[in-house]
Amino acid sequence: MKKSYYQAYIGTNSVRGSQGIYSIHIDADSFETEIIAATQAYNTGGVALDRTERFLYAVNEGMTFDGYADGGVSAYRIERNGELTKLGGQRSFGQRTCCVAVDEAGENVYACNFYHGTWTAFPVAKNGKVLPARLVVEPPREAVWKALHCVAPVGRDYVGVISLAECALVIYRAGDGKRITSFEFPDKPFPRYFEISGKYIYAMMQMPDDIYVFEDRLEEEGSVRLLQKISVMEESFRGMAATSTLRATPDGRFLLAANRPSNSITVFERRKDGTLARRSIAALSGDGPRDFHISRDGKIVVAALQHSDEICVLEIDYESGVLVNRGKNVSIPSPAAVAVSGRMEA
Amino acid sequence: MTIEERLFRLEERMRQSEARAAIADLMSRYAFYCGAGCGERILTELWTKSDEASLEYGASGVYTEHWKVETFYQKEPVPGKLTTLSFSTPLLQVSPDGESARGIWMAFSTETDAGDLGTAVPDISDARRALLSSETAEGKCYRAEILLQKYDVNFVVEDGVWKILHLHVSEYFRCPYDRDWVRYAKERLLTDGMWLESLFASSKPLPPQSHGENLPSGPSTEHWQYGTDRVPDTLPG
Repeated sequence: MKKSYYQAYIGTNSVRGSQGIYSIHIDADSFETEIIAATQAYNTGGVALDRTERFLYAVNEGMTFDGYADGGVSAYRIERNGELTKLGGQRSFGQRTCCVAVDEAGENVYACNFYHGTWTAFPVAKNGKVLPARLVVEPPREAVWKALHCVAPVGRDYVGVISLAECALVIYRAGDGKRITSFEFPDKPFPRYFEISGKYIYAMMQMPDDIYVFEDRLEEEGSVRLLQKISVMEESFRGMAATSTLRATPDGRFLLAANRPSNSITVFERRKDGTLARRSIAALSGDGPRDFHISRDGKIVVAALQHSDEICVLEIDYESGVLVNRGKNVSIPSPAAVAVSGRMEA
Repeated sequence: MTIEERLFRLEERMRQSEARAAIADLMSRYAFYCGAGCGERILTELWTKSDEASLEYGASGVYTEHWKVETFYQKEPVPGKLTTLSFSTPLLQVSPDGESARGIWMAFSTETDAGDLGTAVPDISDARRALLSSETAEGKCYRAEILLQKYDVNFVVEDGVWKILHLHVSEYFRCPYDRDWVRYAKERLLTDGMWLESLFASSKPLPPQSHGENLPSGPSTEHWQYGTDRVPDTLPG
Protein backbone atom coordinates (compact mmCIF):
# COMPACT_ATOMS: atom_id res chain seq x y z
CA MET A 1 0.00 0.00 0.00
CA LYS A 2 1.26 3.46 -0.87
CA LYS A 3 2.22 5.66 2.03
CA SER A 4 0.91 9.22 2.11
CA TYR A 5 2.92 12.06 3.53
CA TYR A 6 3.39 15.80 3.60
CA GLN A 7 6.54 17.79 3.20
CA ALA A 8 7.10 20.96 5.18
CA TYR A 9 9.82 23.56 4.90
CA ILE A 10 10.84 25.41 8.02
CA GLY A 11 12.64 28.75 7.80
CA THR A 12 14.68 29.65 10.85
CA ASN A 13 16.56 32.50 12.45
CA SER A 14 20.31 31.89 12.25
CA VAL A 15 20.76 31.41 16.00
CA ARG A 16 21.21 28.54 18.46
CA GLY A 17 22.94 26.37 15.86
CA SER A 18 20.33 26.62 13.12
CA GLN A 19 21.41 25.07 9.84
CA GLY A 20 19.07 27.16 7.65
CA ILE A 21 15.91 25.80 6.03
CA TYR A 22 14.79 22.37 7.26
CA SER A 23 12.88 19.94 5.04
CA ILE A 24 10.45 17.86 7.07
CA HIS A 25 8.63 14.63 6.24
CA ILE A 26 5.27 14.10 7.98
CA ASP A 27 3.51 10.73 7.69
CA ALA A 28 -0.10 11.50 6.78
CA ASP A 29 -1.49 8.66 8.90
CA SER A 30 0.75 8.35 11.93
CA PHE A 31 1.86 12.02 11.91
CA GLU A 32 5.37 10.78 12.60
CA THR A 33 7.63 13.66 11.72
CA GLU A 34 11.31 13.67 10.79
CA ILE A 35 13.90 16.07 9.43
CA ILE A 36 15.09 14.87 6.04
CA ALA A 37 17.44 17.69 5.05
CA ALA A 38 18.81 21.07 6.10
CA THR A 39 19.83 23.65 3.53
CA GLN A 40 22.25 26.39 4.51
CA ALA A 41 20.48 29.75 4.48
CA TYR A 42 20.56 32.93 6.51
CA ASN A 43 17.65 34.20 8.63
CA THR A 44 14.79 32.74 6.60
CA GLY A 45 11.94 34.31 8.56
CA GLY A 46 9.48 33.93 5.66
CA VAL A 47 8.98 31.06 3.21
CA ALA A 48 6.41 30.38 0.49
CA LEU A 49 5.73 27.53 -1.92
CA ASP A 50 4.59 28.17 -5.45
CA ARG A 51 1.35 26.58 -6.61
CA THR A 52 3.13 23.66 -8.30
CA GLU A 53 5.16 22.97 -5.14
CA ARG A 54 8.26 22.67 -7.26
CA PHE A 55 9.85 25.85 -5.92
CA LEU A 56 10.30 27.41 -2.51
CA TYR A 57 10.97 31.10 -1.96
CA ALA A 58 12.59 32.36 1.22
CA VAL A 59 13.39 35.79 2.55
CA ASN A 60 16.84 36.71 3.75
CA GLU A 61 15.70 38.63 6.80
CA GLY A 62 18.98 40.34 7.44
CA MET A 63 20.62 43.72 7.04
CA THR A 64 22.85 42.73 4.15
CA PHE A 65 22.43 40.83 0.91
CA ASP A 66 25.05 40.44 -1.78
CA GLY A 67 27.13 43.17 -0.17
CA TYR A 68 24.32 45.73 -0.22
CA ALA A 69 22.48 47.17 2.77
CA ASP A 70 19.40 45.17 1.79
CA GLY A 71 17.55 41.99 2.57
CA GLY A 72 16.69 39.65 -0.24
CA VAL A 73 14.70 36.77 -1.61
CA SER A 74 16.17 33.42 -2.63
CA ALA A 75 14.63 30.68 -4.76
CA TYR A 76 15.07 26.94 -4.24
CA ARG A 77 14.14 24.00 -6.41
CA ILE A 78 12.55 21.17 -4.43
CA GLU A 79 14.14 17.85 -5.31
CA ARG A 80 12.24 14.56 -5.24
CA ASN A 81 13.66 13.65 -1.85
CA GLY A 82 12.65 17.01 -0.37
CA GLU A 83 16.12 18.49 -0.44
CA LEU A 84 16.50 22.04 -1.70
CA THR A 85 18.79 23.29 -4.46
CA LYS A 86 19.44 27.01 -4.36
CA LEU A 87 18.63 28.85 -7.59
CA GLY A 88 20.11 32.17 -6.51
CA GLY A 89 18.44 35.26 -5.16
CA GLN A 90 17.87 38.97 -5.54
CA ARG A 91 18.21 41.99 -3.27
CA SER A 92 14.94 43.47 -2.14
CA PHE A 93 15.78 47.17 -1.79
CA GLY A 94 15.05 47.38 1.90
CA GLN A 95 16.51 45.75 5.01
CA ARG A 96 15.08 42.91 7.13
CA THR A 97 12.93 41.44 4.40
CA CYS A 98 10.21 39.84 6.48
CA CYS A 99 7.52 38.37 4.23
CA VAL A 100 7.41 36.64 0.85
CA ALA A 101 4.47 35.55 -1.28
CA VAL A 102 4.03 34.00 -4.73
CA ASP A 103 1.11 34.77 -7.00
CA GLU A 104 -1.26 32.05 -8.17
CA ALA A 105 0.39 31.76 -11.60
CA GLY A 106 3.88 31.54 -10.11
CA GLU A 107 4.95 34.47 -12.27
CA ASN A 108 5.64 37.02 -9.55
CA VAL A 109 7.20 36.89 -6.12
CA TYR A 110 6.46 39.72 -3.71
CA ALA A 111 8.53 40.66 -0.69
CA CYS A 112 8.32 43.42 1.88
CA ASN A 113 10.95 45.02 4.02
CA PHE A 114 10.52 45.82 7.67
CA TYR A 115 13.08 48.62 7.47
CA HIS A 116 12.64 51.21 4.71
CA GLY A 117 8.99 50.12 4.37
CA THR A 118 9.39 49.16 0.73
CA TRP A 119 7.74 46.27 -1.07
CA THR A 120 9.23 44.65 -4.10
CA ALA A 121 7.90 42.66 -7.05
CA PHE A 122 10.19 40.14 -8.72
CA PRO A 123 9.37 38.37 -11.98
CA VAL A 124 9.91 34.61 -11.83
CA ALA A 125 11.57 32.70 -14.68
CA LYS A 126 10.10 29.41 -15.90
CA ASN A 127 12.84 27.52 -14.07
CA GLY A 128 11.75 29.11 -10.80
CA LYS A 129 14.57 31.63 -10.54
CA VAL A 130 13.79 35.04 -9.11
CA LEU A 131 14.78 37.75 -11.58
CA PRO A 132 15.87 41.29 -10.59
CA ALA A 133 13.11 43.43 -9.10
CA ARG A 134 10.73 44.98 -11.60
CA LEU A 135 9.06 47.20 -9.05
CA VAL A 136 10.12 48.75 -5.74
CA VAL A 137 7.34 50.68 -4.04
CA GLU A 138 8.30 53.24 -1.41
CA PRO A 139 6.20 54.23 1.61
CA PRO A 140 4.78 57.77 1.73
CA ARG A 141 7.59 60.26 2.04
CA GLU A 142 6.04 61.86 5.12
CA ALA A 143 5.83 58.59 7.10
CA VAL A 144 7.96 58.85 10.23
CA TRP A 145 8.46 55.12 10.80
CA LYS A 146 8.88 53.48 7.43
CA ALA A 147 8.08 49.81 8.02
CA LEU A 148 6.04 47.04 6.40
CA HIS A 149 5.05 43.72 7.91
CA CYS A 150 3.19 41.66 5.34
CA VAL A 151 2.68 41.53 1.59
CA ALA A 152 0.48 39.27 -0.57
CA PRO A 153 -1.25 39.33 -3.92
CA VAL A 154 -4.94 40.23 -3.75
CA GLY A 155 -6.50 38.40 -6.66
CA ARG A 156 -4.65 38.66 -9.94
CA ASP A 157 -4.39 42.40 -10.25
CA TYR A 158 -3.60 43.80 -6.82
CA VAL A 159 -1.06 43.59 -4.05
CA GLY A 160 -1.87 44.30 -0.42
CA VAL A 161 0.53 45.30 2.35
CA ILE A 162 0.26 45.78 6.08
CA SER A 163 1.96 49.11 6.64
CA LEU A 164 3.29 50.06 10.04
CA ALA A 165 4.24 53.41 8.59
CA GLU A 166 0.59 54.23 7.97
CA CYS A 167 -0.96 51.77 10.43
CA ALA A 168 -3.07 50.61 7.53
CA LEU A 169 -3.94 47.97 5.00
CA VAL A 170 -2.85 49.45 1.68
CA ILE A 171 -3.78 48.04 -1.73
CA TYR A 172 -1.67 48.69 -4.83
CA ARG A 173 -2.03 47.70 -8.45
CA ALA A 174 0.26 44.72 -9.05
CA GLY A 175 1.38 45.78 -12.51
CA ASP A 176 2.73 49.25 -11.80
CA GLY A 177 2.54 49.68 -8.02
CA LYS A 178 -0.05 52.45 -8.24
CA ARG A 179 -1.77 53.00 -4.92
CA ILE A 180 -5.46 52.12 -5.17
CA THR A 181 -6.91 52.37 -1.68
CA SER A 182 -6.13 52.02 2.00
CA PHE A 183 -7.83 51.46 5.33
CA GLU A 184 -6.28 53.11 8.37
CA PHE A 185 -6.83 51.06 11.52
CA PRO A 186 -8.35 53.24 14.25
CA ASP A 187 -6.60 54.01 17.55
CA LYS A 188 -3.12 53.17 16.19
CA PRO A 189 -2.84 49.44 16.89
CA PHE A 190 0.26 47.48 15.81
CA PRO A 191 -0.85 45.76 12.59
CA ARG A 192 0.73 42.43 11.73
CA TYR A 193 -0.69 40.20 9.03
CA PHE A 194 -3.45 39.69 6.53
CA GLU A 195 -5.04 36.76 4.71
CA ILE A 196 -7.40 36.51 1.78
CA SER A 197 -10.16 34.00 1.34
CA GLY A 198 -12.48 34.45 -1.61
CA LYS A 199 -13.80 37.99 -1.70
CA TYR A 200 -12.79 38.70 1.87
CA ILE A 201 -9.64 40.15 3.41
CA TYR A 202 -8.74 39.51 7.05
CA ALA A 203 -6.24 41.90 8.63
CA MET A 204 -4.89 41.03 12.06
CA MET A 205 -3.35 43.35 14.63
CA GLN A 206 -0.47 42.10 16.73
CA MET A 207 -1.58 44.27 19.59
CA PRO A 208 -4.44 44.51 20.48
CA ASP A 209 -5.43 41.17 18.98
CA ASP A 210 -8.17 42.38 16.65
CA ILE A 211 -9.02 41.02 13.23
CA TYR A 212 -10.65 43.40 10.77
CA VAL A 213 -12.81 41.68 8.15
CA PHE A 214 -13.15 43.43 4.79
CA GLU A 215 -15.08 42.71 1.65
CA ASP A 216 -12.94 43.11 -1.44
CA ARG A 217 -14.72 45.76 -3.57
CA LEU A 218 -11.64 46.59 -5.62
CA GLU A 219 -13.08 45.71 -9.00
CA GLU A 220 -16.44 47.35 -8.31
CA GLU A 221 -15.50 50.43 -6.32
CA GLY A 222 -11.72 50.47 -6.04
CA SER A 223 -12.01 50.00 -2.30
CA VAL A 224 -12.45 47.57 0.59
CA ARG A 225 -15.50 47.62 2.86
CA LEU A 226 -15.17 46.94 6.59
CA LEU A 227 -17.61 44.25 7.76
CA GLN A 228 -16.49 43.25 11.24
CA LYS A 229 -13.91 43.59 13.99
CA ILE A 230 -13.35 40.60 16.29
CA SER A 231 -10.59 39.72 18.75
CA VAL A 232 -8.40 36.61 18.40
CA MET A 233 -8.72 35.75 22.08
CA GLU A 234 -12.05 35.64 23.90
CA GLU A 235 -13.38 38.91 25.31
CA SER A 236 -12.72 37.60 28.83
CA PHE A 237 -9.02 36.99 28.06
CA ARG A 238 -6.81 39.13 30.28
CA GLY A 239 -3.40 37.82 29.21
CA MET A 240 -0.99 39.39 26.78
CA ALA A 241 -1.64 39.56 23.06
CA ALA A 242 1.09 39.41 20.44
CA THR A 243 -0.41 37.64 17.49
CA SER A 244 1.66 36.33 14.61
CA THR A 245 -0.01 34.55 11.69
CA LEU A 246 -3.47 34.23 10.21
CA ARG A 247 -4.42 31.58 7.64
CA ALA A 248 -7.62 30.29 6.05
CA THR A 249 -8.27 26.64 5.33
CA PRO A 250 -8.20 25.94 1.57
CA ASP A 251 -11.98 25.39 1.50
CA GLY A 252 -12.44 28.73 3.23
CA ARG A 253 -14.47 27.21 6.06
CA PHE A 254 -12.16 28.16 8.89
CA LEU A 255 -9.71 30.91 9.66
CA LEU A 256 -6.90 30.19 12.11
CA ALA A 257 -5.03 32.86 14.10
CA ALA A 258 -2.00 32.39 16.39
CA ASN A 259 -1.26 34.32 19.56
CA ARG A 260 2.28 33.93 20.86
CA PRO A 261 2.14 34.71 24.60
CA SER A 262 -0.77 32.30 25.16
CA ASN A 263 0.78 29.66 22.84
CA SER A 264 -2.52 29.15 21.14
CA ILE A 265 -4.27 29.07 17.79
CA THR A 266 -7.84 30.31 17.63
CA VAL A 267 -10.18 28.65 15.13
CA PHE A 268 -12.84 30.90 13.59
CA GLU A 269 -15.68 29.64 11.47
CA ARG A 270 -16.34 31.78 8.41
CA ARG A 271 -19.94 32.65 7.78
CA LYS A 272 -21.29 32.96 4.24
CA ASP A 273 -20.95 36.74 4.40
CA GLY A 274 -17.24 36.41 5.25
CA THR A 275 -17.59 37.39 8.92
CA LEU A 276 -16.08 35.28 11.68
CA ALA A 277 -17.38 33.37 14.69
CA ARG A 278 -14.89 32.04 17.21
CA ARG A 279 -15.21 28.25 17.50
CA SER A 280 -12.30 27.04 19.64
CA ILE A 281 -8.85 27.87 20.94
CA ALA A 282 -6.17 25.19 20.75
CA ALA A 283 -3.31 25.08 23.26
CA LEU A 284 0.00 24.34 21.53
CA SER A 285 2.58 21.97 22.98
CA GLY A 286 5.41 24.51 22.94
CA ASP A 287 6.33 28.15 23.22
CA GLY A 288 6.05 31.08 20.81
CA PRO A 289 4.06 30.21 17.65
CA ARG A 290 5.75 32.62 15.26
CA ASP A 291 4.18 31.06 12.15
CA PHE A 292 2.04 28.15 11.03
CA HIS A 293 0.82 26.83 7.72
CA ILE A 294 -2.03 24.62 6.57
CA SER A 295 -1.45 21.77 4.12
CA ARG A 296 -3.01 22.26 0.71
CA ASP A 297 -5.59 19.54 1.41
CA GLY A 298 -6.52 21.40 4.59
CA LYS A 299 -5.91 18.43 6.85
CA ILE A 300 -2.91 19.39 8.96
CA VAL A 301 -1.34 22.46 10.50
CA VAL A 302 2.39 22.74 11.14
CA ALA A 303 3.35 25.38 13.69
CA ALA A 304 6.78 26.91 14.31
CA LEU A 305 7.34 27.25 18.06
CA GLN A 306 10.17 29.74 17.98
CA HIS A 307 10.95 30.08 21.68
CA SER A 308 10.96 26.38 22.54
CA ASP A 309 12.89 25.50 19.35
CA GLU A 310 10.47 22.94 17.96
CA ILE A 311 7.66 22.40 15.51
CA CYS A 312 4.37 20.70 16.19
CA VAL A 313 1.73 19.11 13.98
CA LEU A 314 -2.01 19.48 14.50
CA GLU A 315 -4.97 17.98 12.71
CA ILE A 316 -8.03 20.03 11.85
CA ASP A 317 -11.27 18.38 12.94
CA TYR A 318 -13.78 19.86 10.51
CA GLU A 319 -16.76 18.44 12.42
CA SER A 320 -16.04 20.14 15.70
CA GLY A 321 -13.89 23.04 14.48
CA VAL A 322 -11.00 22.19 16.80
CA LEU A 323 -7.30 21.55 16.32
CA VAL A 324 -5.91 18.31 17.75
CA ASN A 325 -2.21 17.89 18.58
CA ARG A 326 -0.75 14.94 16.68
CA GLY A 327 2.59 13.18 16.77
CA LYS A 328 5.65 14.31 18.64
CA ASN A 329 7.28 17.72 18.39
CA VAL A 330 10.53 17.90 16.43
CA SER A 331 13.45 20.01 17.62
CA ILE A 332 14.59 22.77 15.26
CA PRO A 333 16.49 25.88 16.41
CA SER A 334 14.43 29.08 16.29
CA PRO A 335 11.83 28.09 13.69
CA ALA A 336 10.23 31.22 12.25
CA ALA A 337 8.40 30.33 9.04
CA VAL A 338 6.49 27.35 7.66
CA ALA A 339 5.31 26.15 4.24
CA VAL A 340 3.51 22.80 3.94
CA SER A 341 2.94 20.86 0.75
CA GLY A 342 -0.17 19.03 -0.34
CA ARG A 343 -0.61 15.36 0.46
CA MET A 344 1.87 13.24 -1.49
CA GLU A 345 2.25 9.55 -2.14
CA ALA A 346 5.48 7.63 -1.77
CA MET B 1 44.38 94.00 13.67
CA THR B 2 44.23 95.02 17.30
CA ILE B 3 46.06 93.15 20.04
CA GLU B 4 42.66 91.96 21.38
CA GLU B 5 41.71 90.59 17.97
CA ARG B 6 45.05 88.83 17.62
CA LEU B 7 44.70 87.39 21.10
CA PHE B 8 41.19 86.17 20.32
CA ARG B 9 42.35 84.46 17.12
CA LEU B 10 45.25 82.90 18.95
CA GLU B 11 42.95 81.56 21.66
CA GLU B 12 40.61 80.27 18.98
CA ARG B 13 43.44 78.43 17.25
CA MET B 14 44.65 77.06 20.55
CA ARG B 15 41.17 75.75 21.40
CA GLN B 16 40.98 74.09 17.99
CA SER B 17 44.45 72.65 18.37
CA GLU B 18 43.73 71.32 21.87
CA ALA B 19 40.48 69.79 20.66
CA ARG B 20 42.21 68.05 17.77
CA ALA B 21 44.90 66.68 20.06
CA ALA B 22 42.34 65.47 22.59
CA ILE B 23 40.25 63.75 19.92
CA ALA B 24 43.29 62.13 18.34
CA ASP B 25 44.28 60.93 21.82
CA LEU B 26 40.74 59.58 22.39
CA MET B 27 40.85 57.54 19.18
CA SER B 28 44.34 56.25 19.92
CA ARG B 29 43.04 55.02 23.25
CA TYR B 30 40.10 53.48 21.40
CA ALA B 31 42.53 51.50 19.24
CA PHE B 32 44.65 50.41 22.21
CA TYR B 33 41.60 49.35 24.24
CA CYS B 34 40.31 47.35 21.26
CA GLY B 35 43.59 45.47 21.02
CA ALA B 36 43.62 44.84 24.75
CA GLY B 37 40.04 43.56 24.81
CA CYS B 38 38.99 46.43 27.08
CA GLY B 39 35.53 47.02 25.68
CA GLU B 40 34.18 48.16 29.05
CA ARG B 41 36.82 50.90 29.26
CA ILE B 42 35.85 52.12 25.81
CA LEU B 43 32.28 52.42 27.04
CA THR B 44 32.98 54.11 30.32
CA GLU B 45 35.89 56.34 29.29
CA LEU B 46 35.36 57.16 25.64
CA TRP B 47 31.62 57.13 24.92
CA THR B 48 29.01 59.69 25.89
CA LYS B 49 26.53 58.64 28.57
CA SER B 50 23.75 60.14 26.49
CA ASP B 51 21.02 57.94 25.02
CA GLU B 52 21.57 59.86 21.79
CA ALA B 53 24.62 57.64 21.28
CA SER B 54 24.53 55.56 18.12
CA LEU B 55 26.69 52.98 16.45
CA GLU B 56 26.56 51.61 12.93
CA TYR B 57 28.90 49.02 11.47
CA GLY B 58 28.86 48.18 7.78
CA ALA B 59 25.30 47.35 6.77
CA SER B 60 24.26 46.66 10.37
CA GLY B 61 21.75 49.48 10.52
CA VAL B 62 21.86 52.08 13.27
CA TYR B 63 21.96 50.94 16.90
CA THR B 64 20.76 53.81 19.07
CA GLU B 65 20.20 53.87 22.84
CA HIS B 66 23.10 53.24 25.13
CA TRP B 67 22.36 49.60 25.92
CA LYS B 68 22.49 48.72 22.22
CA VAL B 69 25.81 50.50 21.76
CA GLU B 70 27.14 48.61 24.80
CA THR B 71 26.46 45.24 23.17
CA PHE B 72 29.15 46.02 20.58
CA TYR B 73 31.83 46.14 23.29
CA GLN B 74 30.58 43.59 25.84
CA LYS B 75 32.66 40.56 24.86
CA GLU B 76 34.05 37.87 27.13
CA PRO B 77 37.78 37.43 26.49
CA VAL B 78 38.35 34.23 24.51
CA PRO B 79 41.87 32.76 24.24
CA GLY B 80 43.11 33.14 20.69
CA LYS B 81 40.79 36.00 19.79
CA LEU B 82 42.23 39.42 18.96
CA THR B 83 41.07 42.63 17.30
CA THR B 84 43.60 45.29 16.28
CA LEU B 85 43.11 48.76 14.81
CA SER B 86 45.67 51.03 13.14
CA PHE B 87 44.25 54.46 12.41
CA SER B 88 45.44 56.84 9.71
CA THR B 89 45.85 60.56 10.26
CA PRO B 90 42.31 61.92 10.56
CA LEU B 91 40.31 64.38 8.61
CA LEU B 92 39.02 66.42 11.53
CA GLN B 93 36.60 69.32 11.88
CA VAL B 94 35.89 71.01 15.19
CA SER B 95 32.82 73.23 15.45
CA PRO B 96 33.45 76.97 15.95
CA ASP B 97 32.04 76.81 19.49
CA GLY B 98 34.39 73.93 20.33
CA GLU B 99 31.55 71.77 21.65
CA SER B 100 31.34 69.19 18.88
CA ALA B 101 33.53 67.68 16.21
CA ARG B 102 33.59 65.16 13.40
CA GLY B 103 36.53 63.03 12.39
CA ILE B 104 37.17 60.51 9.64
CA TRP B 105 39.90 57.91 9.87
CA MET B 106 40.88 55.06 7.61
CA ALA B 107 41.91 51.98 9.55
CA PHE B 108 43.79 48.83 8.72
CA SER B 109 42.54 46.23 11.15
CA THR B 110 42.89 42.56 11.93
CA GLU B 111 40.42 40.04 13.30
CA THR B 112 41.79 36.85 14.82
CA ASP B 113 40.14 33.74 16.18
CA ALA B 114 42.39 30.73 16.70
CA GLY B 115 39.35 28.47 16.30
CA ASP B 116 40.38 24.82 16.08
CA LEU B 117 44.02 25.78 16.65
CA GLY B 118 43.31 27.41 20.00
CA THR B 119 42.34 26.23 23.45
CA ALA B 120 38.73 27.43 23.12
CA VAL B 121 37.63 25.34 20.16
CA PRO B 122 34.15 26.42 19.01
CA ASP B 123 31.43 23.79 19.12
CA ILE B 124 30.96 21.88 15.88
CA SER B 125 27.25 22.84 15.84
CA ASP B 126 28.00 26.56 16.25
CA ALA B 127 26.93 28.20 12.97
CA ARG B 128 29.49 30.94 13.56
CA ARG B 129 32.21 28.49 12.67
CA ALA B 130 31.49 29.83 9.18
CA LEU B 131 33.43 32.95 10.23
CA LEU B 132 36.60 30.84 10.52
CA SER B 133 37.67 31.65 6.99
CA SER B 134 41.06 29.92 6.87
CA GLU B 135 41.84 26.25 7.04
CA THR B 136 45.00 24.24 7.58
CA ALA B 137 45.91 21.28 5.37
CA GLU B 138 44.57 19.09 8.19
CA GLY B 139 41.18 20.76 7.98
CA LYS B 140 41.47 22.82 11.15
CA CYS B 141 39.63 26.12 10.85
CA TYR B 142 40.69 29.50 12.21
CA ARG B 143 40.32 33.18 11.40
CA ALA B 144 43.13 35.56 10.51
CA GLU B 145 41.56 38.38 8.53
CA ILE B 146 42.66 41.82 7.45
CA LEU B 147 40.16 44.63 7.06
CA LEU B 148 40.12 48.12 5.62
CA GLN B 149 37.63 50.32 7.42
CA LYS B 150 36.52 53.92 7.49
CA TYR B 151 35.69 55.37 10.90
CA ASP B 152 33.32 58.33 10.73
CA VAL B 153 32.90 59.68 14.25
CA ASN B 154 30.96 62.52 15.85
CA PHE B 155 32.20 63.82 19.18
CA VAL B 156 30.75 66.01 21.91
CA VAL B 157 32.21 67.64 24.97
CA GLU B 158 30.75 66.12 28.12
CA ASP B 159 31.81 67.50 31.50
CA GLY B 160 34.74 69.15 29.76
CA VAL B 161 35.95 65.94 28.12
CA TRP B 162 35.60 64.84 24.49
CA LYS B 163 33.39 61.78 24.06
CA ILE B 164 32.12 59.70 21.15
CA LEU B 165 28.50 60.46 20.27
CA HIS B 166 28.03 58.62 16.95
CA LEU B 167 30.31 56.00 15.45
CA HIS B 168 29.88 54.75 11.92
CA VAL B 169 32.32 52.13 10.68
CA SER B 170 32.32 51.28 6.98
CA GLU B 171 34.02 48.04 6.15
CA TYR B 172 35.46 48.44 2.67
CA PHE B 173 36.82 44.92 2.59
CA ARG B 174 37.76 42.00 4.76
CA CYS B 175 39.59 38.86 3.69
CA PRO B 176 41.72 36.07 5.10
CA TYR B 177 45.39 36.99 5.36
CA ASP B 178 46.33 34.19 2.97
CA ARG B 179 43.93 35.41 0.29
CA ASP B 180 43.23 38.85 -1.12
CA TRP B 181 40.08 40.96 -1.09
CA VAL B 182 39.45 40.58 -4.81
CA ARG B 183 39.38 36.78 -4.77
CA TYR B 184 37.48 36.79 -1.46
CA ALA B 185 34.92 39.46 -2.46
CA LYS B 186 32.18 36.97 -3.34
CA GLU B 187 32.89 34.44 -0.62
CA ARG B 188 32.62 37.04 2.10
CA LEU B 189 28.99 37.64 1.14
CA LEU B 190 28.09 34.25 2.64
CA THR B 191 29.07 35.37 6.11
CA ASP B 192 28.42 39.13 6.05
CA GLY B 193 25.12 38.81 7.92
CA MET B 194 26.53 36.49 10.52
CA TRP B 195 29.55 38.72 11.00
CA LEU B 196 27.36 41.78 11.60
CA GLU B 197 25.20 39.93 14.12
CA SER B 198 28.24 38.60 15.95
CA LEU B 199 29.50 42.16 16.40
CA PHE B 200 26.40 43.09 18.36
CA ALA B 201 26.18 39.83 20.32
CA SER B 202 26.74 40.76 23.95
CA SER B 203 28.23 38.37 26.46
CA LYS B 204 25.93 39.95 29.05
CA PRO B 205 22.18 39.36 29.36
CA LEU B 206 20.13 41.82 27.35
CA PRO B 207 17.96 44.27 29.33
CA PRO B 208 14.22 43.57 29.68
CA GLN B 209 13.29 46.23 27.12
CA SER B 210 15.15 44.19 24.45
CA HIS B 211 12.59 41.34 24.59
CA GLY B 212 15.55 39.03 24.00
CA GLU B 213 16.55 40.58 20.68
CA ASN B 214 19.21 43.09 19.80
CA LEU B 215 17.92 44.47 16.54
CA PRO B 216 19.08 47.74 15.01
CA SER B 217 16.93 50.76 15.77
CA GLY B 218 16.79 51.74 12.13
CA PRO B 219 18.09 50.98 8.66
CA SER B 220 21.57 51.69 7.37
CA THR B 221 22.34 55.32 6.58
CA GLU B 222 25.15 54.67 4.10
CA HIS B 223 26.95 51.52 3.08
CA TRP B 224 29.57 50.57 0.54
CA GLN B 225 31.83 47.57 0.40
CA TYR B 226 34.22 46.36 -2.23
CA GLY B 227 32.82 44.15 -4.97
CA THR B 228 34.36 43.17 -8.26
CA ASP B 229 31.48 44.95 -10.02
CA ARG B 230 31.35 48.12 -7.92
CA VAL B 231 32.91 51.56 -8.05
CA PRO B 232 33.62 53.43 -4.82
CA ASP B 233 30.94 55.74 -3.49
CA THR B 234 31.50 59.44 -3.30
CA LEU B 235 33.42 60.98 -0.43
CA PRO B 236 31.48 61.76 2.74
CA GLY B 237 30.10 65.29 2.93
